[in-house]
Amino acid sequence: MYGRYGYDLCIEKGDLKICFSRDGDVVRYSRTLGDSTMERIIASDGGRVIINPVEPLNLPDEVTRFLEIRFESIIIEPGATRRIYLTFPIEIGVFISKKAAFRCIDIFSRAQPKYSLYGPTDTGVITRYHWSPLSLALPAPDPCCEGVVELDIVNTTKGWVEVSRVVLENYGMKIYYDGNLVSIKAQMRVIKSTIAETCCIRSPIREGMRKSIELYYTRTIGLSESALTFTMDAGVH
Amino acid sequence: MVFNAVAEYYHNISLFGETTTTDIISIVLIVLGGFIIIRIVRNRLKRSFGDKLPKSDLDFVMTLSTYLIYLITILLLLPYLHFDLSGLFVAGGIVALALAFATQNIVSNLVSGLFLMFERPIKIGDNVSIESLTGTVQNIQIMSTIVRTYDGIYVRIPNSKMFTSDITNLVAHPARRFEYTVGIRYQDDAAKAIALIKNLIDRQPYALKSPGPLVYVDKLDESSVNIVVKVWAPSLFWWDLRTALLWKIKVELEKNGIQIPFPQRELWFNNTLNADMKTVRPPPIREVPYQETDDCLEVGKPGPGETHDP
Repeated sequence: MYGRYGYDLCIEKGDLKICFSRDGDVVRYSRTLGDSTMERIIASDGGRVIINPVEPLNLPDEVTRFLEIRFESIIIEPGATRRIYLTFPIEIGVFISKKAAFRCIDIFSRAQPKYSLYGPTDTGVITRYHWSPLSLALPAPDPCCEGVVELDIVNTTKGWVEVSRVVLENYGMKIYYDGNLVSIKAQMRVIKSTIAETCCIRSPIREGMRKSIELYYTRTIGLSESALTFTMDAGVH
Repeated sequence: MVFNAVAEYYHNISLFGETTTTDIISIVLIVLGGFIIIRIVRNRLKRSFGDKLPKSDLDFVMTLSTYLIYLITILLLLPYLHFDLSGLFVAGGIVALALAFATQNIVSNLVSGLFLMFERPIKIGDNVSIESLTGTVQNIQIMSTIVRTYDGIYVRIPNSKMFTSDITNLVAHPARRFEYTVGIRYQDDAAKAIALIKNLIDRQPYALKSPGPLVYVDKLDESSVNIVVKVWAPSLFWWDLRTALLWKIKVELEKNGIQIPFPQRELWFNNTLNADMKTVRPPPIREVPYQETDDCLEVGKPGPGETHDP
């Protein structure tokens, strides 16, 4: 389903139906997914349609910048690095583009959104909540419903640490996709038993994957990579 | 030659004390220049940072810049006004005292405004409650704060009052909690009701997973078993959830056979009533069919011995 298309497009997959159709001088877009529908009128002579997964932080509204994934806790020895695989919810963005200008016209998802609070109620942050099973090998979820986070946990402390959650920030969340997989590569450096730094890495987890259009990059200025690290200072377990 | 002479003539005309025509022209130009610079700076700030800074921060920077330019403009004007500050210092005591009395409210508002800007208990766009007033902060100015009530009313509050009032910022923290009390019948299963409510809350996106909701039997009341429901939600979205959730709880409970009872009271009589309750019937309700009224029908006053009945 993901990819780049012209305006003559109609996709049906289960209860999802996406259609672009020409109507005189305009193009009509319609999307149906379950009970939700979206229609748009686009004044364009020629352009491209791009459908790709976007940062899962837009539905039902833009509530937060943070994605929190909770998982079965893992205890890591001092100085060790361990790679684990988690899942994250998918939100799909439909973009239209002309030359270098992109416009997101629709975002939808099969995942039921849920929010949580990371940290205390006065200084914490609202997060998009997702529970994930912990895998040590690359899982293969439905790419229209869930993606995979390849997370390297680095324990830089001199003690054992127990980790059961990771919080990722939207800016710099690099999502890659191909026909079978949607992925994010991320790193979590545990610098104290209750503090960790997380960041997403600009790299696919396997060859041949295409990078998604970053929704939050297009809305703001480009930030330096160092500014895209989030400090989890309210615990990692 | 002639131009120079004319210029010299007008230059030397004293209008107010030592202030000459040239001074007036300079003052006008400086004031105009000041306003133009303020406009340019504000536009530049809006264009450069409009999409990069939160609106409240941008407004704060713009207000600060505006007042800074005002100050510089006034300082530039002083020589042309021949305003002798040393004279003011000499006369200082009395004038300052008079000024202090005359402007104490203004100064009080000004200083309070500065403190509010730096302490920042509220920001533009925050939902606040100030004494009996509740609304959204529209603007924080140097002398006053503008609040729009939820009914859309414009309210200007002097900063000195703001500074001394109890301010409740409803969205300062990321999350807040609200609660309902739901009564169920005594014969209903409270554990089942709690499970249903918890399950329903879990399906609501804005009901936070952590801190989790609290649902428990709080009171065995006169007519009902009261279940208290406490839910945390993002501060900016709690009202949406609060208004939607209660009805969903009611529908969900009723769908599963759990009723929300009316207040009721059982009465016991010392003496047996001498009536067969099975035979007691409520008075019949006369159903009056809907009738079209004829506007053209003129009903006159009945004459003696006449009625309107057919």
